Amino acid sequence: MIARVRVIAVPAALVVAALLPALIPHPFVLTLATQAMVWALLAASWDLLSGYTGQVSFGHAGFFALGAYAAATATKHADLSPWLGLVFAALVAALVGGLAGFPALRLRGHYLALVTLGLAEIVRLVAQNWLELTGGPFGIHDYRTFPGLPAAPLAHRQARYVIVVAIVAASVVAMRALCERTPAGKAFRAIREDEVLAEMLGIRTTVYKLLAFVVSSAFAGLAGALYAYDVQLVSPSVASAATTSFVIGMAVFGGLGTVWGPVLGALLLFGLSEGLRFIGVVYNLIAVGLVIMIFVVFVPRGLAGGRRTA
Amino acid sequence: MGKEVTQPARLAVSELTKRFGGLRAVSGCSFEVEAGSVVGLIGPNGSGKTTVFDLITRLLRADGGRVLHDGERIDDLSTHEIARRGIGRTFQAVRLFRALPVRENLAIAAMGRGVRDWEGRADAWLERLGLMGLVDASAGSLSVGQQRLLELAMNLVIEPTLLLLDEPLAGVHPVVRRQIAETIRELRGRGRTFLIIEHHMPFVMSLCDKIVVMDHGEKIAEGPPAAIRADERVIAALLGQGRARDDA
Amino acid sequence: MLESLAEFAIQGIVLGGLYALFAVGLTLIFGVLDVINVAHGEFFAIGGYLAFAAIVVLHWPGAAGVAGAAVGTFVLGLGVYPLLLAPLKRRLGARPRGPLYLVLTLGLSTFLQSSLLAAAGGDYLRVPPYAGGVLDLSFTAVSHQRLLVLVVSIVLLGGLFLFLRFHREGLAVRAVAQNPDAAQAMGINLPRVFALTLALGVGLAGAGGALMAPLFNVYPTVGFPLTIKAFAITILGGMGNLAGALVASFLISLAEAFSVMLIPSEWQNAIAFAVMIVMLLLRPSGLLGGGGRR
Ligand SMILES: Nc1ncnc2c1ncn2[C@@H]1O[C@H](COP(=O)(O)OP(=O)(O)O)[C@@H](O)[C@H]1O
Ligand SMILES: [Mg+2]
Repeated sequence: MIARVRVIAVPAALVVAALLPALIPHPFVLTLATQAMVWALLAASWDLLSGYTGQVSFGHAGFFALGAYAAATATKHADLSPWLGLVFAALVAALVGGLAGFPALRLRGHYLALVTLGLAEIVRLVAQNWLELTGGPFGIHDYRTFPGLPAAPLAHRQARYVIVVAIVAASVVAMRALCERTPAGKAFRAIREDEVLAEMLGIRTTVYKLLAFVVSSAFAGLAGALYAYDVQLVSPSVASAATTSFVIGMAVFGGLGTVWGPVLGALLLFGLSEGLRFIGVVYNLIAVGLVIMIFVVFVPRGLAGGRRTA
Repeated sequence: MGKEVTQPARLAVSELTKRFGGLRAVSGCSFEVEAGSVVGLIGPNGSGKTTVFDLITRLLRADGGRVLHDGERIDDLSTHEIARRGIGRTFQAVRLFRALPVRENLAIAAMGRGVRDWEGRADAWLERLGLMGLVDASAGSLSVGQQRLLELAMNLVIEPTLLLLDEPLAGVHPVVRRQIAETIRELRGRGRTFLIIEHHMPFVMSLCDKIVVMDHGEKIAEGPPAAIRADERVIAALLGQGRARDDA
Repeated sequence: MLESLAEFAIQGIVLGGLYALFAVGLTLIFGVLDVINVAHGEFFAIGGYLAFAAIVVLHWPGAAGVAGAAVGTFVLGLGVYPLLLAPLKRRLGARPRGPLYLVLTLGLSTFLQSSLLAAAGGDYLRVPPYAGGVLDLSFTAVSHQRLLVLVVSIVLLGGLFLFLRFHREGLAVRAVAQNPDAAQAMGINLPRVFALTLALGVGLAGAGGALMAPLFNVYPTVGFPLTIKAFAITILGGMGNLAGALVASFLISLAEAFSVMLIPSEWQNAIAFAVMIVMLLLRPSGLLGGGGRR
């Protein structure tokens, strides 16, 4: 049943996503849709590391913020082309993610979550206090976005949306392929299910854990860069734990360990949360908290229902 | 099923020692597993048998002593390197990727050792062990006996040269017991080497070329089944625990 | 110079009392339930709000307000295990728990934080000091409010330790921390102990929040930074190790207080995280070693 829904729903969603600028040529809707896509990439990247490989990160806000700041500062201060800025941001986040991965090689569960949470908090403090580079509490702005886009507001928004969707879709497909079609994906799953057994079967768990860290943080950084070029403002609050909580909520909502489930979860939860803003700005996070709690306890497979559980 | 192994593995542990706080779980333990033989490792509960396995596979680090495989020291290798030398192991409490389907378990086992073209072999083993109908079931949903068979199959698809089995018959139905015993007999005929921890005496006595007996972390006897059966110290140690089962 | 050293020391010690109140509860919960309560800081905030409601809105006397806030958070805490953790535990059975409890309490944290925001708004609420005046120590002066925080923290922690050592329920809590299966076999009611422990832990946080309300003000996210800091403290002290958490609280608070001499104060908050990361790399079992399960 679920498999059949998936066969229809995923291509349908892709088609709708691709045609959205033509279907609803409205700047506000497109702005929100673009942001939703960025969140989708971030949620998928979290899922690769935490849902798929079982290495719980509470620090994805940190990787996201690193990518966002790397892109914004490089473009603002070094006039780096935003296209290269995307790559640069992914590399910076991957580097830090790799470094964060080292303690992770020796730590399990709780400890890893705490270290990554601490890491994100350090990123936030640096962002807040390194005024010359980051603009401090007010954030960094006044840097350019992707070059060569049309000037007319609606066409500009449409073009930006298409760019973001294309990059996000390619990234998600790449992550999904890594998880489902390569030996690395098998190793990720094996590590999640039973690290000792994986090692006993000859899998170099340390190498694969590190790989999961690097890939996940690179894509989180890429999401950050997309955010930076789209929103045109990066402030320290991006690195706050609320961001991480939001992302984890999306992943849990969509279904852990499926990569595409969190994408779906992100689009829906982001939509829900933006919709709730109309009722009152505080209600969206209440909903996020509720969704996390309800889904963890009662709908552990999430909407995607993908990953088999015993 | 599976090709002949021409250069069977040989395992030797010498003066192996492991302490947990004040407890000497294994102390000064030495024995050899000759190439192509089946060696039984028996002893009362808590005598240190599983710990010996953990030390051989480097899930635990020894406080002293050495482990040699084909004449080379392996006690400074890491677990996955040891596995990649062709040493397989099962666990006293079955260890599987419980949430994953049976076939995925086999695929991961093959991937871990870098074995290709394993599918045909896997199918043959699944057929033979009666698991063929269950390839898409999650491993955790199998019965205990089927789980033990799957764990064994995961070690067989990669054609190990040395297999360490930790109580392969525990909690298993007599029919499955026979299956497991036959499998081991057949593989032994093909030159593979086994070290088996087991409490089920008829199985141990009929299958093993040699038996090593442990008590309180020390080796108290070593020899062919007939000699072990007659050894007073062994009888005392095993009876003392009420473990010399002769049932089934 | 000496005077400012003394001042830093006193600041550090007062802050350490607060950290201890917070971190000991967190590590107690971890030691007994094997769950890290990411929402611990929100109970601190709730304590603050309850104190505000009691003292500013209902005009209770300060002492009654703080006591009421502590009891109120304790009662709220009683619901967390049966309503939230137990259902997950039942569903999981023997399956690996992975990140689920952490994610669950993270969800609780977000939910409580934003509910406080919705209910009370984001303003900084002021609670008048419970004790006026300052204690003049000639070389430096300490406000009575700060002294009060320290004294009450010590009294509460002392009470907790006495409870765990001598009271029947306290013994049960310790037995469960040692070995839940054995404790259950001895006839200890596990769900009851779990619920009680959680309530005790967050009750201490609530008491802390109420005590600190006049110094910190009260707002929805007031507790979250403390949660992160308390993670650092529990890791430094050894997860699940109560005495370790106590010692580590004062180590961190003193390090923070004295750090102002060396680094700009806005970096003060990074110390705990730096310590946490270094500790995890060098000595994950904590300064005092052993303690909780990994
Ligand atoms: N990780 C461990 N920590 C502490 N003690 C252990 C550990 N593993 C085993 N032991 C103890 O070491 C002794 C030997 O255990 P084990 O090797 O499992 O015995 P056997 O397999 O012969 O029943 C037992 O007393 C057991 O309690
Ligand atoms: Mg054993």
